[in-house]
Amino acid sequence: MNISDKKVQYVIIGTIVGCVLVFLILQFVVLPAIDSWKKDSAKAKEIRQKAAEMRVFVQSRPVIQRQIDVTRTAIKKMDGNIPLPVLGNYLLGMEEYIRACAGNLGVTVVTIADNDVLEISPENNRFKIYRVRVQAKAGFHEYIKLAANIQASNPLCSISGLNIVAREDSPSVHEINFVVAWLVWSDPAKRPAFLIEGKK
Amino acid sequence: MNLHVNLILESERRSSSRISRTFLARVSAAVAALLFLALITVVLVGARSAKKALIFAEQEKNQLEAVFRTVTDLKQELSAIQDVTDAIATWSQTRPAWPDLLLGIQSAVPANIQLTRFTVNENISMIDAAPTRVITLYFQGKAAGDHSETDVQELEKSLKEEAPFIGVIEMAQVKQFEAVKNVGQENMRVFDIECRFKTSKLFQPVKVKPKDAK
Repeated sequence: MNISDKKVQYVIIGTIVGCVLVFLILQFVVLPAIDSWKKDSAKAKEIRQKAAEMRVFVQSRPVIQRQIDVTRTAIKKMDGNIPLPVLGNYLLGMEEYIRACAGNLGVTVVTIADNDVLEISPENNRFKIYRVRVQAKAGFHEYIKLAANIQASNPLCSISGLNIVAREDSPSVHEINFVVAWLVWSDPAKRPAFLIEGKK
Repeated sequence: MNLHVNLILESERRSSSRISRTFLARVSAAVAALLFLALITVVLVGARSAKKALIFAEQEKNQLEAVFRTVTDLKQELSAIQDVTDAIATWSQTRPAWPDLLLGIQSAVPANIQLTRFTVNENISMIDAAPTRVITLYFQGKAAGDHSETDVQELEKSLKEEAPFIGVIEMAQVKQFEAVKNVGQENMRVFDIECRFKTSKLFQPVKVKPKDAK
């Protein structure tokens, strides 16, 4: 082969130009296209997977709605046992409740007074515990009946302190001091909206 | 001697093959070029369809997003109102059954024991990062007769092991037992018993980290 032959020279130059072109096409067209193909496929797969998860979650909507309805009904039912302030305080309602529970049991309710308001915890801040102190005179049996009435009439009412001192002069009647606690809304105006709407 | 030399020019050479080398080279070059073009086409078409698939998936996800947000809001509402029911339910479930306990104490006290003071204290304290009902029961009494010590021990045992205290009272302990020093009451003993109830946890909402809340 004579390298000085023009035809051979063209072939060599053509081959070099071809190789350079192939390299340029590979470098700037094919490889970036493969890269974008891979990335787009991976991203599309990820999005499709996420969309499938979202679809499953979205399909649970009727179940969630049903649970909300059931829970709301339960709260509405329990709400009747959570006292609301009367004329800005709870004591009036509590006094009425305790006297109604004492009824004709033979318990002499001497005084009913505010005791304290307890916070449950910073996280559980929807409710607080309102407590009243009751001073009474009663026999042990009568007091047990009163305690039973207090706890049975309202499942959210609880005896949370008790002090019974025997009296020398009358062994059948004791000095009884006890504390009654109610679960109340921390801020009645901020209780769940469906409870407020129901009362309007 | 005659020397016979056959001279042949380069251009006059002929291959034994029917297909010329030039032809082969051209066909190979054409096939290589076609293959290369096919590769480029496949890659470009693939990349384009991946892009389309991505756009389609994104559109689908965007369409779902609005409904997803609504359902997420519903889920959060459910969680909030379930916290309310849990708070109410645990408060109700953890209250001691005082009428039963008081009746139980009355039956557990032997005939020769007279209770002179009966005190219950309930507090709400944070234990293990949860609000907890802590109840202590303390009572004082007088016991008469020779068996007074045994009777007080029996009472202590009943408070630990018998219904309705079992599962409710965690600890019952006689703190004091001594003779009355007054004249004429030599046979009388006074005692103190302290009981600690099993603690009951009230509801504590789970703290939701901002990342989990999304």
